[in-house]
Amino acid sequence: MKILKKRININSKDYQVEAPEDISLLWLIRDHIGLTGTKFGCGKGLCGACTIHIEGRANRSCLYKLKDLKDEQITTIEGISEKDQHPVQVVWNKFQVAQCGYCQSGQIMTAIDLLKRFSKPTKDTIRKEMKGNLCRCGTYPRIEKAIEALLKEDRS
Amino acid sequence: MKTDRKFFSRRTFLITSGAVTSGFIIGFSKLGKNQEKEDVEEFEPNGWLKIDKDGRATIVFARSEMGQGISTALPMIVAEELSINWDDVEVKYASHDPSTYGNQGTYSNSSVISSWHQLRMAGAAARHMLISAAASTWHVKSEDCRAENGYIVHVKTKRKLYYKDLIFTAAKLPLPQEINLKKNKDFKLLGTSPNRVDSIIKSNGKALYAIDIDIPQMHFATVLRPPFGSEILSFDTNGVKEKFNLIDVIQYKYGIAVIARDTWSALEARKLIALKTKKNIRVNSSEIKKELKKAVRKEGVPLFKEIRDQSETKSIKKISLEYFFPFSPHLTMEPQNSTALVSKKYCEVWAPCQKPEKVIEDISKEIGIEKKNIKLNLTLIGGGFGRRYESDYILDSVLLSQYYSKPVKVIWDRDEDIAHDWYRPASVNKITALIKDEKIHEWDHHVVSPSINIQRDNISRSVYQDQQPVIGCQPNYPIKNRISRYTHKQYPITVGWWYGPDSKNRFACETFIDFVAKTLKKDPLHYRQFLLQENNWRESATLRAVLEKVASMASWNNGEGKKKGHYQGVACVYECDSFVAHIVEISISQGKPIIHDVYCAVDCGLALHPDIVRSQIEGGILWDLSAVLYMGVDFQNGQARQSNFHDQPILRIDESPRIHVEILESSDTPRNIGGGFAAGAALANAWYRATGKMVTQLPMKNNVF
Repeated sequence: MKILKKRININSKDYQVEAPEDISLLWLIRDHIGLTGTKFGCGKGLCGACTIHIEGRANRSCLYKLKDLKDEQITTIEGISEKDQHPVQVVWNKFQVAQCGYCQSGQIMTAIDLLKRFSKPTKDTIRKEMKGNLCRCGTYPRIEKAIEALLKEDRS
Repeated sequence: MKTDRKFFSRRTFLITSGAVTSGFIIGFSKLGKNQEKEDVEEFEPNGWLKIDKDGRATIVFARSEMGQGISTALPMIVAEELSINWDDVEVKYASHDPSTYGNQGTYSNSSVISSWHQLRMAGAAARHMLISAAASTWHVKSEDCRAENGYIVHVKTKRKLYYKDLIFTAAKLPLPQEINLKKNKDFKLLGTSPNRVDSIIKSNGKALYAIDIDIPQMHFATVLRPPFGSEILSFDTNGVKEKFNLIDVIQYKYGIAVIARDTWSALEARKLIALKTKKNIRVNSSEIKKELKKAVRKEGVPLFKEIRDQSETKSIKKISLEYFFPFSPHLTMEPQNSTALVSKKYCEVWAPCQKPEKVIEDISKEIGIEKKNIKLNLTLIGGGFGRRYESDYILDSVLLSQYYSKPVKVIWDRDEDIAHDWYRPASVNKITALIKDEKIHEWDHHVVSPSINIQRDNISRSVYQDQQPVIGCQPNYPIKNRISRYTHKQYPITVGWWYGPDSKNRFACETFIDFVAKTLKKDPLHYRQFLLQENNWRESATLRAVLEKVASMASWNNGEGKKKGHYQGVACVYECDSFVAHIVEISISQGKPIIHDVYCAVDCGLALHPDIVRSQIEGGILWDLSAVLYMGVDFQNGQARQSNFHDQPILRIDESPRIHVEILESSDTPRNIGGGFAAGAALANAWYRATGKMVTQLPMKNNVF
C-alpha cells in the first residue's frame, strides 16, 4: 500500500500526515491525528456516526479516502465551536438529547449541515435529512424537537 | 425524619466491611482517614464523597453510564442527603473497586434500587458530621441546627456556617451513631431535572469511550471468529501482511487476529482473509426453527404450576397460538472493543463493561493473573443493553496483549458484532388458554428455547431447575390456573441478556390477550380492565390506573384511531417493578405499518430525575418497536446471514413516532425503569386490529411485510 505524505487541514489547523493512501478519513482522524470525537459505527456509510464536514458539507468519513482529499478544509465535532456554544450544541444540551452519546457527534454534524441547506425545513425534511444517522438509545424524538426549537428561535 | 437505628461504630465498619448486614457499610471503608492527620485539606467521611476547602463536593459514581443517566441520578441521591447545591458538585467516575463501592455491576435496571439506601446513608452521614461540627463551634445542640444548600444554620439565631469552614472540624469527628434520612417532602434536588453531568461532553466530542483510549506503543487489532459450530483448520492471508504493512496475522484461542499499526489496516486486511473451517455441528436457522416448532407440540416440563380452581370445566372454550422469535442481536452503536496492557503479573483493561466482577474473574481464569492484580477502568459505554455483560471482546485484547507484551486495542468490525453476539435466545412459544364465563380459566404457556444460564455456566444440574426461560410467561392478570412449561434446546449459538429480559414471552402474553378479547368479541382495553377488576392481585389497581390514563391520553375508542384509516393497539406490563401501559396508533401504507403515535403511562414510583425517566421511556419504546419490526439474525452453516445495518436494520428517525408520556407516582420510593416495555406488543395489536391478522412470527419485516 502506497504511503502518502500530506498536509491536511482539520479544524483550521494543519497536520502533516503519513498514512496509507486508501485510509479512510475516519481512521486517519482517530488513530493518526488523535481526534476521537468522530466515531466508528459500521464502516460502510450506513449509520452516520462518523459524519464530518468537508468544505462545510456533511460527509461520511468512513467512506472518504485520504488520496481523494485535495486541499479541502475538514471540520470535526471538536472544531464546530471553541466554547461549546454552537447553536446546535446549545439546543442539544437544552433538550438533553444525548443518552449513551456515541452517535451524537454524527447527529450534530448532520444537523448543522441540514440547517445550512434549508432555511425552513419541514418536519418531513428534518426526518428525511437525519435518517442516515442511527441511534440505538432512542433519542430521535429529542433530536427532532431540538432542531424544530432552533428553527423557531431563529425566526423570532 | 426517618431514623435508621443501626449502630455503627468505627470498629463495626472495619470488622464488617463487605458484610451484608446492610448495604451502606460498603463505601465507608475509607472512613477516618483524615482523623489521624493534623492538617486537613478536605473532608472525606466515606468513599462516596468529599468536600474541599472551597466547599465544593466531589461525589463518586461507581456504576456504568451507558446512556441511562445514572451518573447524574445516583450522585443526586448523595447530594440530596448532603444538602448541597448541585452546582457545587463534581461527579467523579470510579474505577472498579468493590472493597470500597460494593457491587458495581450495571444490569437488570437495578442500579437505582440497589443504591438508594446506601447512597442516602453516605450523604446523610456527612451531613450529620457537618451539623455536629457547627453545633460544637457554637456550643449548641445538634438538634437545633439544620443543613441547607451547603451550610449549617442554627435555627434560633439564624447563624450560618458554610461547609468550607466546617470541614476541618468535621473531619476530626467520630462517625454518627445514628443517621436520620430526610423525608421525601423535604427533598429539594430529587424530583427535579438538572442537566445530565455528561451532556456537554457528549455534544463536543470530548466524551471518552473505551474505543477512544490511546496508550503509547499500542498495537491495533481486530479479530475474525469461525462460524458457530465450526473450527478453523487453516487460513489464507491472501498477502494482506505485506499489502497493509501489518505487524502480524495469527491464529489465537478464539479465531484469527490481525495486528496492525492502525485500525483501518487491521479492518481492511481482515476482509481479505479466507478461513478454511471444519463443520462440527450443523447450525442452520431453518432447521432450528423446525426443531423448536416440533418440540412445542409435546408437553414440556412444568417449571411453574398454580392450580387454584379445579371446578367443572364443561362449558370451556380452548384457544391456542404458536409464536416464533428469532435470535436477536444487541447492535450497540459503539462496536465491541477493549484495550489491555498485560505484563507478567499485572493486567490493566479499558473496556465497555456492565459486570466488572465477572470480567475480572474471566480475565483471571484466561491468563492466570491474580484478580487483585487486574485493574479494570470503567469508561463511558456507547450502548449496553446486556451486550457488555459478556467478556469475549475483552479476553481478545488480554490474550493478544499478553502474547505481544504490548498494549493492544481490539476493535470488532460490525459484521463480527452481528455474527458473534450473545443473542436474545430464539424461541417457539405456545399459549393455550381455557375460557370460561368470559374469563381466562387457565393460562398454559410453553417455551422451547436455549437457556442463557445453562449455556453460560455449563451446569450439570437439571436444566429444569432454572426459571429464567419462563420468566414473563404469565400475563399481568389474575388468572386462577397458571402453568409455565419449558423444553430445553441448546445450539452452539451464544445467547445472553437483552434489554427487557423477558420481552419475547411478554410479547406473546400481551398479544394473546387481544386474541382472547377478539374471540369473546370484547374491546381489548376494556377486557384488560375487566380482568384486572378482581382485586385478589395486589398490582391490579396500579395497572388499572396506568391503563385508564393511557386510554384517556389516546382517546381510546375500541382501537379506532384518531384519524380515519388509523388503528390503535394497547398493551400493558408490570415488570422490573414498574407499571407501563402503551397505546400505539398506526396506519398501513403499501402493506407496511406507519407508526404515528405512541402513548405511554408509567408508574415507576418516585421519579428521582423525571426527565431522565422520560428519556428512558422514550428509549425503551423505540427499542421495543425496533425489536418487533426488525430484529432477527439467521444462520446458515453457523454463519450469520446479516452483516450490517442494511440487512439488520434498526428503527430510523423517519420511522420514529411521536411519543407522549405521562408519569404517575404511586409510592415514595424509586423503582426500576427501563426494560419493562411492551410498545412492540401494542404495535402488533394495532396491526391485528387493522388487518385481522395476529403477529406471531417475528420480526414483522419479512414475516408480515
